[in-house]
Amino acid sequence: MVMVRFVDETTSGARDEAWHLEIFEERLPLRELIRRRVFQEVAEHNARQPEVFRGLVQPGGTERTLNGYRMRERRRVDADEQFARAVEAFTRNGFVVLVDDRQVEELDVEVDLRVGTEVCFLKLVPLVGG
Amino acid sequence: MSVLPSALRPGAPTDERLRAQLDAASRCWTYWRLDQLARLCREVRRVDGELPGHAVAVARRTALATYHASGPLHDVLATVDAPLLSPGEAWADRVLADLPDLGAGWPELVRHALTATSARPSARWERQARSLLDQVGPAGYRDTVTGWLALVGRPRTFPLDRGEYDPDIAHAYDPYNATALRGLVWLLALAVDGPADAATARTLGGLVETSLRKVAGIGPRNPKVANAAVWALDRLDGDDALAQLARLATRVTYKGTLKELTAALDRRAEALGLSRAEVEELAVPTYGLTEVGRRVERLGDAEAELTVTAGSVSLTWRTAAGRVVKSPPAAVRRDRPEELRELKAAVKDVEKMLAAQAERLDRQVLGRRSWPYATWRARYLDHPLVGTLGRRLIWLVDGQPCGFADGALRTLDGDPVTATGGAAVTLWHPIGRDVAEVLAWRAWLERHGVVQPFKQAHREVYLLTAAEERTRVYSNRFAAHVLRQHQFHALAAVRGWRNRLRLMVDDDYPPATRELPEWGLRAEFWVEGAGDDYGVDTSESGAYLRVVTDQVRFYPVHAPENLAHAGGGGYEQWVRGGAGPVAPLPLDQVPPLVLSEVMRDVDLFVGVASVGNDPTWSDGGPTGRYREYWHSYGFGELSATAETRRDLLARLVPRLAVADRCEVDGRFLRVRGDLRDYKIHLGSGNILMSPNDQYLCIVPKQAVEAGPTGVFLPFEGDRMLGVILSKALLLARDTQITDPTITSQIRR
Repeated sequence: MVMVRFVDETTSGARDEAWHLEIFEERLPLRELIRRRVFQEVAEHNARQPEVFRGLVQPGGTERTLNGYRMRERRRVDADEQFARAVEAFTRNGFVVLVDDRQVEELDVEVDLRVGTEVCFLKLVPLVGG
Repeated sequence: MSVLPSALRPGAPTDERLRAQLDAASRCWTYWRLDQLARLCREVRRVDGELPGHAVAVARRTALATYHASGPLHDVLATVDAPLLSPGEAWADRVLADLPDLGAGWPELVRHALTATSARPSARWERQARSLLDQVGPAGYRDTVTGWLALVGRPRTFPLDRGEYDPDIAHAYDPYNATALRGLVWLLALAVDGPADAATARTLGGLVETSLRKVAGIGPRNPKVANAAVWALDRLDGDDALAQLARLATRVTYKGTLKELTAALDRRAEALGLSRAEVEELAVPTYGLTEVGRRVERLGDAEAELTVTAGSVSLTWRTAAGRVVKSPPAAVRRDRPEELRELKAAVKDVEKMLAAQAERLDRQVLGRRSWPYATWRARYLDHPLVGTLGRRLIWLVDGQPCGFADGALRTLDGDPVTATGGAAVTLWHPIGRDVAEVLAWRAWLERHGVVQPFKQAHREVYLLTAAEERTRVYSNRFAAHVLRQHQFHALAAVRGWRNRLRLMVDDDYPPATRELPEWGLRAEFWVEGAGDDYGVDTSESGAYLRVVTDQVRFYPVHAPENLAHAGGGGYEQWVRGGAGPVAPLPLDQVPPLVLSEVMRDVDLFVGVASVGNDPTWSDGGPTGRYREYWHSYGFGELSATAETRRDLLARLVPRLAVADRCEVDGRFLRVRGDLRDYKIHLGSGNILMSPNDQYLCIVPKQAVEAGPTGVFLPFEGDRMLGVILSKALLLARDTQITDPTITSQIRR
């Protein structure tokens, strides 16, 4: 069993509070790593159901605010739906994942997890041609 | 070729033809063949015994617009007394519909209102007004007329044909009715005895804003009516009227009305023996909030809670059963519509007031204010409404920086701050504080999840540069930019600068000026009209579309005004009576706080209004004249922010999978794609492609999930950095791009 650090990095160079997740496997596909992160944050949200969802991707029926996504009404968030959204966002470059300062590009790549491994999520901006 | 209505065809009966001609004329704003209009009116009245209301309306508008004070049209109008007001506007239609049921005294009142042709009511006008009001009862008058005034400014109910050179008449005030409007507003001030109630003050405040809204080809719709409403607010007593005046003083940018507002507030200040700033502080009502940011009302069995959080206001309900619901329970809607309406209006009031107060606090940054601790607590920290803003700012209590967290004033380390009643409190500003402290406060805000009402901890700081020390009395930091004039003009007004829209005419203009009376200074930003091709470089009305920027200077506040000709040729002081010109102040003698704040404004003007921001200008605008400027703006030297961006990128890029394809090189992030090489500019995010430095246009997607339009996102970080990174990741894999709007540019 290892403790893995998760960090969200913003482009201001500031890093949000890191949080830890216990993981039993020593190797995991990136897809699974993202799923665990999403399930964890959704579970924490649903336990308290605050007005603002702080998480990786925006749930439906919310508006973006400074520090999260404001819910129209306090409600539970569906973890499977959030995970589907996260995968979708990853495939269109909505965010990139760095494991120990190395970008992992494919969802099916197996990631080695050691003690003190740091998984960093970096959000990007969607682009179109002008 | 339009088809003539059948009534206008030769051979139709004369009467019908006359009516149809008059009808057609009635759909004009003004009808310039005066004598023909007069003849048509006479003929139709001879046949029908009366005139249609809309014909009277166009005759009145035309008579008011002509230079002649007499003539056939005036003769016709002298014998017309119905309709009392010109129909075609929502509020006037309502008056005409209501009058028959209102009974005696009312038509006389409206007639009296129509004689309000001076800027202020005379003593005689007021005497007559009072006796007429006594007939109908002041309270009844107030209720009826506030209902009418609420309809002012709605789109016309009877649309008119807009001629080729007409302004946007659908949103104009009918000039004949506007006089009545002024009279009715004056009467309203006379009808209220004692302090004005919230509804009356709110109606008048709204009328000021409605009447000053700008309309194409006219400008502010009707300053005459706006000023009448300000006069009425000034005349009325009580806190609600004062609150409206204070709120409008932060919102109104139209000079004439702003002068009236300032004078009214100054008069109040003098009467109370206070400073103007103190009056504005004291004028903030609590709107029934009993503690900071909260008001609870019982309506029957239900309970309503109004809460203010981070600048937004919400209303929640608790039913008799104790359930929390978003919308008012049915019982409340059924039994207490009045209270419900009042509560909803209060929410709107609080929202507007919050915005105005945030604006006022932002202006206090240069206000040189210092409060005794006890006074400050009452007005800024514990005030039910202002407290919701004050508690999100950083203050200096006796020189000790502190913020509000966990129910108390605390220092950075979380120690509670106590002070005696007389300790001096000032607003904290990053200038002159050391960098570690500023960063610590930013982290503190983030830790406590505080969103500031305006940028304070993250405020940009502008210090004197070496180049400015050399030029000594002026700054060229923001010179030689091309700005969109109308956008610049609007921004300048919002930030409290005085500026005149430049027209391509033979006239002199002062520079954009910000008065800083507290500092005995005046800041000037020198701009000139750009181009000389009428119709290409100007709008239809002859205003320059673009201005070119030059120096920023500081003068003593009473130095003679600088003027420059519209077409350029440099600024010169206009000196009278043998006095010498007054020299500008050396920049190193300008207090650093003032310099920083003024430069921040100018940076905002350039950053927002520059044509360099417009990706569609890559061809250089009209005839390509600005191509060079656009290019240097989009690809030139880096600003200070872009420098820090480069350092961050140098840290981030090596960790990405595309690291071997990217390198930071001078002003650019270079990206090697499979199809081409790309250079992304670190300042503007603009992209140039090899082999010929062709511009590649890629913009952030305006997603449906775009956040609120708040400009300052303390935790968002640097959006441009995100854009640059995203572009780099996209272009490093340019063979995988599927978006046709991008591939068509790359594969060309």
